[in-house]
Amino acid sequence: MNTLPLVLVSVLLYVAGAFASLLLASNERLGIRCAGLAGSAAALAGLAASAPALLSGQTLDFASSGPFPFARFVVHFDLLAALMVFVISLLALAASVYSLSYVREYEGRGAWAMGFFMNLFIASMLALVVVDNAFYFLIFFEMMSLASYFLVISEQSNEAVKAGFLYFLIAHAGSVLIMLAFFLLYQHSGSLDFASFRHLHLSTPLASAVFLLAFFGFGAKAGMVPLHGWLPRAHPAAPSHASAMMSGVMVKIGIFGIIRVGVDILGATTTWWGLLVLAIGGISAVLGVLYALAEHDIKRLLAYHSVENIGIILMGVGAGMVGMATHQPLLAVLGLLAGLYHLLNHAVFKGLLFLGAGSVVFRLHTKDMEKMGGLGRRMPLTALTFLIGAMAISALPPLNGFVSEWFTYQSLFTMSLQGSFLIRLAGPIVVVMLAITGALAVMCFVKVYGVSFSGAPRSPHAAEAREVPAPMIAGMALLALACIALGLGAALVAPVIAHIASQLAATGAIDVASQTLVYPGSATRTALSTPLVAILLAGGLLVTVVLGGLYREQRQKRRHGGDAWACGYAHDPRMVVSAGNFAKPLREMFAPLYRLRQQADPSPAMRHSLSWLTGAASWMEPRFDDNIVAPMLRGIHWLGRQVQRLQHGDFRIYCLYIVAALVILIVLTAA
Amino acid sequence: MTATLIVNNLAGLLFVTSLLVMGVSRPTASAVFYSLQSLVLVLIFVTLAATLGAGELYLWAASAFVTKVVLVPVIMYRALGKLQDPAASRPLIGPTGLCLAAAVIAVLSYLAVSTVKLAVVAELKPALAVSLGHFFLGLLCIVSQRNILKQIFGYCLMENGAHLTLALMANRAPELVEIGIATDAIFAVVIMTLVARQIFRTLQTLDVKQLTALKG
Repeated sequence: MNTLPLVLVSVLLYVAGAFASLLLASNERLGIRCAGLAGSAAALAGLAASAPALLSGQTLDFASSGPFPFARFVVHFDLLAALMVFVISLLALAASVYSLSYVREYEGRGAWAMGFFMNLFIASMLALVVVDNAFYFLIFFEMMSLASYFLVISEQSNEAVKAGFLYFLIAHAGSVLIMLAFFLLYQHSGSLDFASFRHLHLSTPLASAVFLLAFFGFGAKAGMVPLHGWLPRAHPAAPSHASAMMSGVMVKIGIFGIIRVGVDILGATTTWWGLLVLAIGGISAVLGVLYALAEHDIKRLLAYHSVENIGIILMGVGAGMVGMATHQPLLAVLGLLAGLYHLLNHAVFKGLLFLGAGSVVFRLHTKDMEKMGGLGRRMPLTALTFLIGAMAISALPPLNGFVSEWFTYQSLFTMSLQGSFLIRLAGPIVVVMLAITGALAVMCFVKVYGVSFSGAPRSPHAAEAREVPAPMIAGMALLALACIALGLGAALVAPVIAHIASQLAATGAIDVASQTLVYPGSATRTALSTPLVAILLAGGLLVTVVLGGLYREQRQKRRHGGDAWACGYAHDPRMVVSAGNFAKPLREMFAPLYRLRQQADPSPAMRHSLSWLTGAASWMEPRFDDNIVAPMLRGIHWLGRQVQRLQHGDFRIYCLYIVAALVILIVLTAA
Repeated sequence: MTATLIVNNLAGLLFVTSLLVMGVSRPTASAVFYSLQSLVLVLIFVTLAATLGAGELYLWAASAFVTKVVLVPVIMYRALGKLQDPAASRPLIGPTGLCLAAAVIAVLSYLAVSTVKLAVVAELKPALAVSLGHFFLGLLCIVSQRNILKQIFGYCLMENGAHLTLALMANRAPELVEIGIATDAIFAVVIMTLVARQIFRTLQTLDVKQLTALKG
């Protein structure tokens, strides 16, 4: 079945929604509704386009000459593109439904522009993942960066504008690297089509150069360490449904680019590429979660978790690339499976968490967790969905985060068993890093949920908070259900993603699931059944409840009623655990790594070089004026004064000029 | 006295009347002399018509009489009588200078015409020289006079010169051309008169030296 027209329909619907929002600037309420509904319809079309392709494993192609003679408009709807379309559409559906109520907050503050840029942003991402030509790829990439830039600065505050500028700078530094990579490929293939790039046989140093350019170019977009500086500033600045799209999907475009170039185009032929990806992934994961722990701002915290999860995804991708380079089909497929599965999962739960944070901000008008507390009672549905997201991102079974991290572990274990010493050494190191990351992530979300939703309210706003409107709940519920489904249905999802991985790695099919079990290649090594885990956990809960019921009589005898107290003092709101003191021990333990944040952050260096550049430009700028423009100006003035003498003002003189010219012309003609 | 001699002499008279148009100080007097000059032009047409046997020229003469001898001078006389600006009446070049300049123009024109080799005008070369020189006399009038009303006459003189050239060299042209010339003369004069009156009403001057507001 050819579902490509549906992709086109989806893109057109987004664009239509964008322009409807733009045209309805004077009637924002209607504009918000148009943008949200068009976005939802477009997302449904996107899901309808990608799901059949994913299930059938079919690759669809379309090519036309396009308006430019140098670049054909080629669409290559392979399984990777289909997965990306699926992820984008799923998140876009949730975000668009959510926006129907959420954007009302911004009425009179540019809600119409928000609808415009949001839909354009999603449309450009959708177009970006399906095109198969470097020129169009870059066009859509820039569109995506620009549209999201405007979303970042939509608050118009000083902080947002600064964050937007940093984002703009790093995003464009990244796109320059990507352009260079494509240019190198273009030089050797003579065509801008990715298809022609795939057939190239580059020498190893050249291929490595292309890979490094693309890796750091796309890595800047993905927000991996050390190019992450923009992410914790830009994502919180955007409105929450846009943050969900940026953190949930846009950073995945970076991963998509790395896979597209490193794996699909270059074929991951060199071992150290994979190891580099693995190393950067490990560092991003550990540093990301550590920095997240130290945050008070709920959206900044979530943004740092994006850095962490990008790291986890890169671990999987890196392991897969090592597998491809060392010709281990099992490792290649497992690694890519883990990376892509986590890509999908992270999009879902990070989208959910940002929407949840957005709901809290919507009611409390603050992003500071120290001013929250007790929201679980006031906003129960938000709290429930947020809890599901928090459990998923902390990789608690049986939710989706657990499954993909389990696959990441399995790929790393597989890597540790075979290959050169370096590879066998790298495997366990990264496993340890992943383990630390997982532990810290749990701690971090205990803090987030505990400080924000449990305990006593710590501000009047928190005490008076109400549940958010239904569309916002619906958006979050959709993603929460997706978290559960992707976890419990692992045995159904894993083969589909394994198929994508084996298509990318060009290997035969690898068996990863049967009935309710998922396993890495063969069930004799190890196996996981999330439904079983779920039943056991539910059973454990049931046992507790039953035991509680049985001993109810005896317990009541020993129990005394009364207010809570602490160390002999009556309970005081100030005694509630806060975001700051919860993470304090960790901040002390990892002090050097926190200092590294300041030292390794490239943004001061970039800012410095930018100020040098502007200084140089401001030194250079008058040079042109002084040496070229001013002399020319003086010359023209002088010439003008000479000409002015001719211009006598007496029209009789002008008559003479005319006759003189006539006579001269006659003489010339006669001669 | 042959017909060509008559034409040439009348052409010479044309020159003299032009000097009179330029030389007199009052614009109304110029109008009268212009009428006289046009009469001379009509006579030339009639003579030429008889000499060359060109029937069209009788028509030309008739229309020139109506427009140039009667209409234009009357319009000018009526219109200009009310406009008085003594400051502008004093010309830049006095009568002597004017005569000298006219002589120079006559000589130059004669030299220019002497190279023309056309059978039609072989006998009428002096008249042709006058017609060319007349054009430049008109220009001289425009350049030398400070009064913008006199400059309108300059235009009329140029127009008469051109008219004579046409009669000498293309006298078998259809009447349509003649109608064009006649209406051209009348409309141009009417428009320029209106502009002159508007200028006078706005600035209370006819002196061209004052009209320099557009100078850059």
